[in-house]
Amino acid sequence: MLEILRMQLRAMLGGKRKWLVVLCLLLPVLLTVAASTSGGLGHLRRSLDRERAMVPLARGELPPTAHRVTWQGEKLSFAGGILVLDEKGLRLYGEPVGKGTTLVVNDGFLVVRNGELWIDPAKAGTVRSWRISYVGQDDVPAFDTYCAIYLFLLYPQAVCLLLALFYGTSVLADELDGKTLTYLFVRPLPRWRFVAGKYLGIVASLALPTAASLGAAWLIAGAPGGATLIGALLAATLAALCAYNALFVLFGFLVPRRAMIVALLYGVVFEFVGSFVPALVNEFTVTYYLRSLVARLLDVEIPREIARVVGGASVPGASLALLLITVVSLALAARLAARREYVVKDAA
Amino acid sequence: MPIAELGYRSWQGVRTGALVRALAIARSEVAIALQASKLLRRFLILAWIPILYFCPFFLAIGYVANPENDPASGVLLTGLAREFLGQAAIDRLRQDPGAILPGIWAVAFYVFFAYTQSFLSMIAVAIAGPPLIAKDLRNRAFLVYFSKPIQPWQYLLGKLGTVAAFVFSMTLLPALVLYAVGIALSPDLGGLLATFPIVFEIAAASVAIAIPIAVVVLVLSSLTADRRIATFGWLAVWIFGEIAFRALTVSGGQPGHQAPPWAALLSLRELTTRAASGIFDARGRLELLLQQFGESGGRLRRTMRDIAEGMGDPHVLDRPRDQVQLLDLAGSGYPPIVSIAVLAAIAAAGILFLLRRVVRPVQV
Amino acid sequence: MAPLLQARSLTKLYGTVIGLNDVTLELEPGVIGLLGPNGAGKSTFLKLITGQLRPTEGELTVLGERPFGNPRLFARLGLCPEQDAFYDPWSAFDFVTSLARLSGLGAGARAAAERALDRLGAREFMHREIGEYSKGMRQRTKIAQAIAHDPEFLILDEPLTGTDPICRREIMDLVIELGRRGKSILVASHVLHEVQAMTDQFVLVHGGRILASGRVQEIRSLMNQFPHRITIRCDDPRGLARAVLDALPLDGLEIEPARGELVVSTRDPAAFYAGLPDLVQRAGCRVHELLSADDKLDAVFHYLLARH
Repeated sequence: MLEILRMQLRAMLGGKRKWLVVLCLLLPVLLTVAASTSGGLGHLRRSLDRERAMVPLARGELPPTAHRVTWQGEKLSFAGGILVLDEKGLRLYGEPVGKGTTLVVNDGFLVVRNGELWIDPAKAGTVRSWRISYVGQDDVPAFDTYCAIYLFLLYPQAVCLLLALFYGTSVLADELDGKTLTYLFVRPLPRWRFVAGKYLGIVASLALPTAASLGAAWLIAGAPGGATLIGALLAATLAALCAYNALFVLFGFLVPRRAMIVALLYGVVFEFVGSFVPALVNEFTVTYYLRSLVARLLDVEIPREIARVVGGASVPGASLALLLITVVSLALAARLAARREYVVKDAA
Repeated sequence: MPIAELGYRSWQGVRTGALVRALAIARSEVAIALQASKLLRRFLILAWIPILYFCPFFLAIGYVANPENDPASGVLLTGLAREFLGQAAIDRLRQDPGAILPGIWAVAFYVFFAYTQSFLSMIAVAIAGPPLIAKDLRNRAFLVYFSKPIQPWQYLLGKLGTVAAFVFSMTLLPALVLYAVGIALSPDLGGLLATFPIVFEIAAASVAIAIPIAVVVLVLSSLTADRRIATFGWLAVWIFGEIAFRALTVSGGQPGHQAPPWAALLSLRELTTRAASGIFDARGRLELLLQQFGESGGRLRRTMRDIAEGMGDPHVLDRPRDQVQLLDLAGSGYPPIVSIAVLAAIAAAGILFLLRRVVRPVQV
Repeated sequence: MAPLLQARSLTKLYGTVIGLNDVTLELEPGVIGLLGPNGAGKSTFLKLITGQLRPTEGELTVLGERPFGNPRLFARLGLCPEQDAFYDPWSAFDFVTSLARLSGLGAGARAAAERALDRLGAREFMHREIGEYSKGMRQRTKIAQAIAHDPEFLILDEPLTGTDPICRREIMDLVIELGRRGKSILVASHVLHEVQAMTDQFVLVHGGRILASGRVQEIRSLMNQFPHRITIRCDDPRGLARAVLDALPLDGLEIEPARGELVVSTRDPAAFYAGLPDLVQRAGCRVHELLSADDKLDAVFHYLLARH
């Protein structure tokens, strides 16, 4: 089995093939450079700097005829009464909003300081209507959370899925297309070891470069959130590599010649769309548990209404689920390998 | 006794035209792809599912737009139309269908192309495109192709035609069916005359989607003899492009973010969406419709808002008319014609690359 | 001692296509030729023997064990597959070493690989990339990986395709020597005289069935009913015809002066080939080409098929 692992490492990291991994891990780093200069990441950082120069907003200055948010006496109400300001103070979803809360609206943002609404001086005169699109606890955590979401979408979600889409699904297809499977399947080696060796080879050769790429992107973003954030993301990235690759190895044994496309369709239908459906379906997706894992590890506050959508599992629960997905996928793949006939096409 | 010569004889008859020979390649490649992949066959059928949503829309709008139809008699269709447009818009539509109907259709086709079919096309191309040149590199089939009277450009045209055929089968074809449904329900031939330019817009949008993505996937396919690496390259171009575009345009909750104008260049899908927007004049027509319908509700309005939000301006419907900057594209501000030009440039550069590549293909 | 291979009503279906049809066969250890035209079912049979396929019907035991999913058996088997496939950027040495390790050789793998490659005359090129090899070098590498772990039972699928005469001779010698040392070897081929040089034991396969099995003498005696045709293109076919007519065993002789060809039929090609060079020299004629269609095997197959 060790030899299968070595062969897999050599196939992935030797020769021209290694540039595929390099490119895949270099791109997100370059992307982060672009995002933190010209993209939303940089913009967020710049606007947080601006926030420090805010002035208090007199209550009377808010227009009474705003379309979605109305200001009536002491009461600021948003469409369904989510945001209320009365004698008990400012409350969001019925919960009191504390000091340093940022309410982001369309034309500028408001900050609650000592129970008062503050606004960007440049915008104070022009607010006519707004829509709350983001509520954060404090300015620094808000930035951290954004970075966490950005890096989460980039690494555990996109990069890991993409790498698994190629390497995971190719475990068998590579040997079948190259007609080299015959050499391996006539060895005194139970086929489950072939599956395990190949799988470990993939994870072993991808884990370190991916982690390094994530670390670089994190540093470029300004090392937000400290060790907690990068730790949580590293955990999620490694878990994603393990789970997606295991799942796609299984796909590789189920439909060897079409595995990549089937895995892509699975990715779009389940991991991309299905994981946001708050029903049984999202509890069967890897993404759901990855999101749960990161959210719990970072202790991000998720409004109760959407917790079931984003990820409701606890840290041990999510870890167990990810482990289960990995182990069950590999076990099924090993079983298929042992029972099905996998034969290279005849030369003729 | 005359003795027949059985050795090699050169062809004395008339050769088929150059384009027909390219077409022969495309035809056999389409047949091979369909035969080889059950998945592709199923997917091409699945890609028609969005029609199930759009067909009732065209039926209902067509029904109420006809002044001869009594809204009270076609309860189901009238109800559907009210759901889509709202009563005020229906009244306005019945007054002057010739002025409004083409606009509604064009916007519907824009949504059909830019939001559902272009996405599905990306997946279909991921299935059908990557093997096209890669397998010829692997099997050294160039020797066979170029020992026939086939020029590299004919070979490429055949391969391009293959991908385009699949994309057309999920863009052009269903759109024409929708158009036929709409026309069949219009009161007289006047409807046909008023909406006929839309057929050209449908064709142009199909080409704007099909050709660039076909060229890009063929370039990837020509870079490797392994079809799976080509598929992976296509997915990477698509997914990384999408993420790059989002990372640059999404503001992260902070308003006032100005995305760099080149952000859209990174995403092939975004480019095709914007090109379709320009071809159907989605912005101009939405403006016109808003003007006509005023504050009328209905799903169309909601759809418009969804589109506007998707393009970075969620408040378009809340603003007074003079402030409406409808479909101001995610802060980039340049007109859709730029997207069309960029797509054309990508296609041209890709074709030049491919022509050079297939002349000396054995170097892989 | 258990038989090398035992098949009872062995059948393999691919969907509705029959690969192997109700084969019952017992083979004793030794060197055996598996002969049949392309598509006869040789490949299917070999894949069943090496556990790549599972029988649809019937039973098959190799060295007393069922092959499918049986790693224990694979330690005793060596397979040189038909397809010309390798991990191209690797060297032959790395390739054979890796596969020897998979065969369970562990620390001895490198030495075993070197020994096997050396045995096949691959020493000088074994550290170069396989991608640069000629067909013969690739064939030697393939056989080396099959013998590196010293298997009891060696299976060679078309081992001589694409090789030059020297390489062919060496591979044949290797098979003969391994056979002499008590190894069992199954050589699949569609060319009779190649296999004939290595063994006198045959199994004939055609249309997914075993047509016959036995000693070469039996098959040869069958074949002797069908003369061997040899075409000689030379500058003086008439002169050569005169020379060979009395001196060599012939069944028939045709002269095609327009094409400069002499076509002879003989039931004893070995004697004919042995005597020809002398006669050519004596007749003082120049031979341009010597063609021998290997249609004898086909004739045997037709004959056997006709009896069914």
